[in-house]
Amino acid sequence: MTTTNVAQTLAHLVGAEHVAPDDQLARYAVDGVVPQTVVFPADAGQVADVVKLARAEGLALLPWGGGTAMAAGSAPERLDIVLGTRRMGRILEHEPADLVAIVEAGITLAQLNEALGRHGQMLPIDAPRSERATIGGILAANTSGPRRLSYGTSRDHLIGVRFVDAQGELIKGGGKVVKNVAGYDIPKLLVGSLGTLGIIVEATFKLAPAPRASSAILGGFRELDQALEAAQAVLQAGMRPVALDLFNAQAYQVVAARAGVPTLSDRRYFLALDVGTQPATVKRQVDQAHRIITKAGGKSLVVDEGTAYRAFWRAAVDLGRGGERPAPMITRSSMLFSDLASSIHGHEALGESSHLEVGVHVHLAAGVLHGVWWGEANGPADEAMLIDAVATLRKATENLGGRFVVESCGPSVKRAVDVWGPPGPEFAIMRRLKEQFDPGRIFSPGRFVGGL
Amino acid sequence: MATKTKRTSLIGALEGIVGAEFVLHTPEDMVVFEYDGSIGKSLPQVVVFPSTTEQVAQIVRLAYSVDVPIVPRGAGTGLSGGAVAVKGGIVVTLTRMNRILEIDPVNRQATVEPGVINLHLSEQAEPHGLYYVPDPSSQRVCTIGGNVAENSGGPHCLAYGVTTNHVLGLEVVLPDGEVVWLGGPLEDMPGYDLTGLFVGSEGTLGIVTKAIVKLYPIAESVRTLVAVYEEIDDASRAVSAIIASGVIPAALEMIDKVTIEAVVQAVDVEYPSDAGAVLLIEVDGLKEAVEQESEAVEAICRDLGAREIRVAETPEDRERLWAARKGALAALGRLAPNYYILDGVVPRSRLMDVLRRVGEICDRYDFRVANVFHAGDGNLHPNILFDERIPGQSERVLEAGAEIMQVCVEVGGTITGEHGVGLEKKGFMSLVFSPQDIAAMEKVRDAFSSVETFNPCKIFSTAKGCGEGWRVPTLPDLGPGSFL
Repeated sequence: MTTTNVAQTLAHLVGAEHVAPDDQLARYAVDGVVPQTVVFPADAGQVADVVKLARAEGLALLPWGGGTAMAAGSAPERLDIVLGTRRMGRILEHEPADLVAIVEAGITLAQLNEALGRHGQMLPIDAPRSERATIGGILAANTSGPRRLSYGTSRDHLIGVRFVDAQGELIKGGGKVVKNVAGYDIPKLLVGSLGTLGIIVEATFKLAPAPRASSAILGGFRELDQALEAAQAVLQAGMRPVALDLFNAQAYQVVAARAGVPTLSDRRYFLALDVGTQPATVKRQVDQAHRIITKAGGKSLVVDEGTAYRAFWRAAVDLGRGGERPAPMITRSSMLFSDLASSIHGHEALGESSHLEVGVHVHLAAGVLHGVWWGEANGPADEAMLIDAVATLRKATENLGGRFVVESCGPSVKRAVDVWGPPGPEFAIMRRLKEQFDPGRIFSPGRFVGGL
Repeated sequence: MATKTKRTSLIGALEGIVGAEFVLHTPEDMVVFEYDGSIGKSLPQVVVFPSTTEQVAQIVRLAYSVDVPIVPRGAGTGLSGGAVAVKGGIVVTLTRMNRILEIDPVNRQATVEPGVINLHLSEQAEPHGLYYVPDPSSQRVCTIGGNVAENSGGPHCLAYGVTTNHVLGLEVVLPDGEVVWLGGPLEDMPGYDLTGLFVGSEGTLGIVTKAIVKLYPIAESVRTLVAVYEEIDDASRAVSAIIASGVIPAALEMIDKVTIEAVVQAVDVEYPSDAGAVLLIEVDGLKEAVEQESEAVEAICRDLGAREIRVAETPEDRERLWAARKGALAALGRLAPNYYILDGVVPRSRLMDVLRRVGEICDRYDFRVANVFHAGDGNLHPNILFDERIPGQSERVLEAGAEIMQVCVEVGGTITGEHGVGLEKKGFMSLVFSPQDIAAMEKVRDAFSSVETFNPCKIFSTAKGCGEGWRVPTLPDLGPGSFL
């Protein structure tokens, strides 16, 4: 089938007005690869129709939610059809007394949480640009953020999923009850699979009650050791923070400026605690954190509930992603909490020696360190330096027993590095999963670990 | 004769791997290994007790090379037949691999061997102010490896999640004998979530030989209370209202009238024997939150008709209240010679309706039913009381169970919340899943291994050669020592 014929068939399947005109195709390029067609199906049935066409014609298909994480993963080895989920944005079921919601994949996180918030509930997953990021994309990319400390990540909230497999069949995994061990845990298969095993069309979540009170307390420190000592004390003091993050000065200044909180420019490292969730516990934890921060030599600052609190965490989650200072590269290192100090220093030393500027943002308890890499003095970043940085950081992280992934970067850097790094021996099982679920390699081929 | 020689040489080979003292092969020695905590039993050819990962791998490779079925087993407390050697073969019991290899208080994780008893891990972590969250009622005997296989829950999983939410990494022996790590000590490992797929796979994808699990800080404050109701409907309404109010207690359990009748005879506990139902509720966390939340819970319970609320004043009080809950199943033996445990889950807003229908079904079959369950999760455990000596009862109790599972599915629920499908419920998978859904699970299994003799005939009713060798079972006694 020619490109024109594919476009015509798709127009027939979903309606001509739901196929992007040719002059818009470039907006849907993934790592510089421009698709032949962009199609917006209305529902799971139409997704299945598109998949069946792709399968019959051997076309590569890539799902697209809000487009906020398209720089993740390796460059696709082929790309024919981008399947946009923006028309699939309904809440299908929300029974507040069950604390469960079923949604279509194309709803944005912000829309969902606005609706849930009216019932005092929420889906406590953090994702950059939540007004654009969709549930399907968040699950596929396994996006997470500061609140993972107390709420966990997508894998802990997703209790049911529907996806269209490579045969165009609609497959259900899990259910809509909060405990379920009937058969294998298929929802886990889809979380983090980056569109390589199927197209997620529907998700069922276990929800959380919204906090009744919230506050952030920030601590500015001169030395990293002081900040980490305070963090360790928080974890050992019986506190129950919702989030416990660390920023270096570069990261903090960007976040603070956007959120409108004081920048404390004489400090180099910053702890941020989200404390909640009852009014009485907020006050008690703020007091406790203040004492711990002060004792460790820090200067504390309370960001109260309301605009500044929300703006702060939003700016933290969005750091480097669009906004005032988009970063040409964001990296993620996973390691044990006890190895973080060495890695943070390593990131900063590399920033200085390479004439790049690096913002460090760490989810401390999870041991997840984001490196946000900018060009020096607001200038453009030298791509050769970014490429070198990847090699240096990967080696340093792996020496600590950690894993290093490039979360986002431009197409030319991507051509020069393996964003995922070398897979381990368990990769054989992953390869067989891909072969079982997508033998014809129609779903996002080449984009995942090990070239899957 | 040929079969006998084959079996003799298999035993010899296993003795060569682990030593003769760690191989059982006479029927008398193996009799306790022919069943688990579920219905049905089947005698293996041989039971072997490895002590290292390498021994497990050698045993699995041996079984694979001679085409003999192999079934992993922990403490044998499973409630769905996962450890039953339905096709005979080798039962690999992991209880000798019971070392806690590391407790890392800074990174809040522990590395354990599969035979470590669940409660022992929490006991060893306690000096660091930490504990392991999942607490199946069998936690004094069940093993972490078995918990991983079944994705076990427990009363305290309501607020903090079940086993899968607490496992970071697994060293496993795959069905062909290869040893591989899935996940590891770190969060956010790149690639598919193989750990998440393995947890809850009921011993069909491999044998766990090490597990890295998360530890959680012990709450600074706990309050345990019991709300007593005249009518079970009111207790059900209170459960839904508590969840809807935005309070997630650490535990929210219901014990019905029939269960109370048995418990007060068996355990030293002052539950009012004329109550229609009691809720056992525990709130934990920061002390200020515990105060607020327990007051809120009390208010809801009273509003919905609790005639009495008792708060545990001392740790001993708390222990006693929990002893009654955890001893409930054993106590049921006072009411009937047999009971059949179900494990359906329903949306929490449908509890009242479903419990009524469970009662109606059991009335229609003329069985008494005792409900003692994780109400906050919507995870029912109707225990149908019967007497297998009365002809026809064993068959009819299974029919009643099937109707109850059907009701759970009809209201949007599922057939098992924590016990697993195993042998017992595989015929009911089609109530919940389409053939395509089940085919997707089989693809996962095939990605891990194509060895058909590895823990055969579990979960899926489509497997070849599983029709014979397994009949609709009569139910063996489940006496004291059984748990739910």
